[in-house]
Amino acid sequence: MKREFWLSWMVIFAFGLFWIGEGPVSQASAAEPLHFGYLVADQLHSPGPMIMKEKGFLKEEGFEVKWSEFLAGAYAMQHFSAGEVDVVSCGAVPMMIARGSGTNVVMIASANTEGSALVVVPEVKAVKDLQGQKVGSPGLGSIQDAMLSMVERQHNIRILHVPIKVSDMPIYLNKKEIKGFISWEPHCSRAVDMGYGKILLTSHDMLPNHQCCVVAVQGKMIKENPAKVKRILKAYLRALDYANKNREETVKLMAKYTNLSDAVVKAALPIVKNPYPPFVDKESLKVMGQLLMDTGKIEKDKVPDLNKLIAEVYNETFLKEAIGGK
Amino acid sequence: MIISKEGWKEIGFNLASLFIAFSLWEIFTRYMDSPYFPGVGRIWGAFFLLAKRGDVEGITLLQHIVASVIRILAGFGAATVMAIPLGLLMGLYPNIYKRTRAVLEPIRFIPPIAWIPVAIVLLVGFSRYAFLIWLGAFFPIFINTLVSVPRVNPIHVNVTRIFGARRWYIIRKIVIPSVAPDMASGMRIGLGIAWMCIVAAEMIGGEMMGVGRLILKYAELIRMAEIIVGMLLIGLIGFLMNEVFLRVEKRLFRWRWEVSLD
Repeated sequence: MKREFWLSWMVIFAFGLFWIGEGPVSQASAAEPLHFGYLVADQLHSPGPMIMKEKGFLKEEGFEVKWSEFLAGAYAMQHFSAGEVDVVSCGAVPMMIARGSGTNVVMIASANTEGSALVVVPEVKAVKDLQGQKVGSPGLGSIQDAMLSMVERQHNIRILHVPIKVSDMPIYLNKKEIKGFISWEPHCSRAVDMGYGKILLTSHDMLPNHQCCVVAVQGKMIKENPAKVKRILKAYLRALDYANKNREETVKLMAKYTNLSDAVVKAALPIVKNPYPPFVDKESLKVMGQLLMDTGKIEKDKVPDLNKLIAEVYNETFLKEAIGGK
Repeated sequence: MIISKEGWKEIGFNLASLFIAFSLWEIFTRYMDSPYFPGVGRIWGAFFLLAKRGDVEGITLLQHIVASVIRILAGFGAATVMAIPLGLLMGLYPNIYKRTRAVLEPIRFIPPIAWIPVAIVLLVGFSRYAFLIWLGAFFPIFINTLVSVPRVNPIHVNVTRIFGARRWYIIRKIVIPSVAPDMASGMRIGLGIAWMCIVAAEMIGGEMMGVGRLILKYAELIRMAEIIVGMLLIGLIGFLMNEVFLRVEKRLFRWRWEVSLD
């Protein structure tokens, strides 16, 4: 029996070694590989990746890009934390949470400010009506969930945050399983367009000019290859410039990528702001960071100093240099 | 319950296995030195805090466990109630199975996760979870029952027939007792799959509680210690339920040595 026991453990051990030994297989290529992650139907918030993809701006910088779509920022950050994704475009909140958990993520530019809304069923007339009710949220790690906590604080009510995939939220609302949901555009305007609900609050009402999506890179890349960061940022700024100068074409591309009509996209766009030059709003990062710490999403014992966290998670030197160099 | 010398030996080896597993995990985490590989101490700490204070939304471990167990029991119970009679019926009347297998068999290969969009649109709340777990548990029980009916010893059936037994009597007294151990094995496999389906089912969203939901919550916050606590809980509860099942099986089918895993 003893022999069998040790034999079993040898097999387990050998299997473990095999598993640890499994690593990514490097591929030889003339162009530099770059894995870019962005969110599904997030082109209204972050048009940069879409334009870079369509116009091949990153390719012109010498990158061979692998594009990956993620359902929400939290999922994008899981892949980023594993080192699988080099550059990511998603909410600032999941990035701060990831940084608080030990991920070396560094924001280099903003994508948009504001751009989310709280959609409710027609019976809900005021925020107070949501007391004790179920409201859909893209998940604990999202910027929208943090905004919902902010609404609770501002109105001194308790809302039940129910996690739902953003694309499913209108279905849950229509079936009256939830009284409302908070999401990024265009999902809010889509639900309104379908006649399932109305916008009760925009994120401007909750926290004016709050930072929403940002573009970030691996901290290791900044340390080991700053020139690569500069090339990525150059392509990104070029894309933003293109989006601003070619608004009609950008709207059409947004409609194509989000699978929505031009009319829904145009209705949703006023809620989203894309300030240029794309500096990240540090003040709102502080407000949201404090909220994340108060709600336990960032562990206080791991992150004792919020200002230090923000200084580490946001690096504006590349953007300053790029803008100054123009 | 008296534990035999062999039983104590088995317990000893299992405890040694646990010790080796934890030690290897600890060595591995120290070697990796990464925030994503928490050590045994950190996992224990996370378990303690989750049990004492609850998760970031204040929901306790017990509430998560109860929510998942109720979903499992509902889905698994429904699967058992439907799969056994259907398996018996199709086993006794093979033509029904032969003429409907073009519908039944492809459904068996559709993973429960693929049913999620349909479940979201067609079902509401609790029924969604129960449905997905039912899907996972149904087929092992159904197939085990179905294939065991033709294996009933024909001598037993023929003897009762000679003595003038009617069909219903043969089913009650010969067929069902003969296939019962296979049904039980199917149920045990089905229960295991039901636990595998819980995370997929709770991925649907729309609810705040459940062990699968706990894992997903902390996956969003990239907190590995709490994720591992959720994973270990699923393993532990599944293991305990399986042990109870095995004990009941051994007691009910003492006459059939195949039941034992020894």
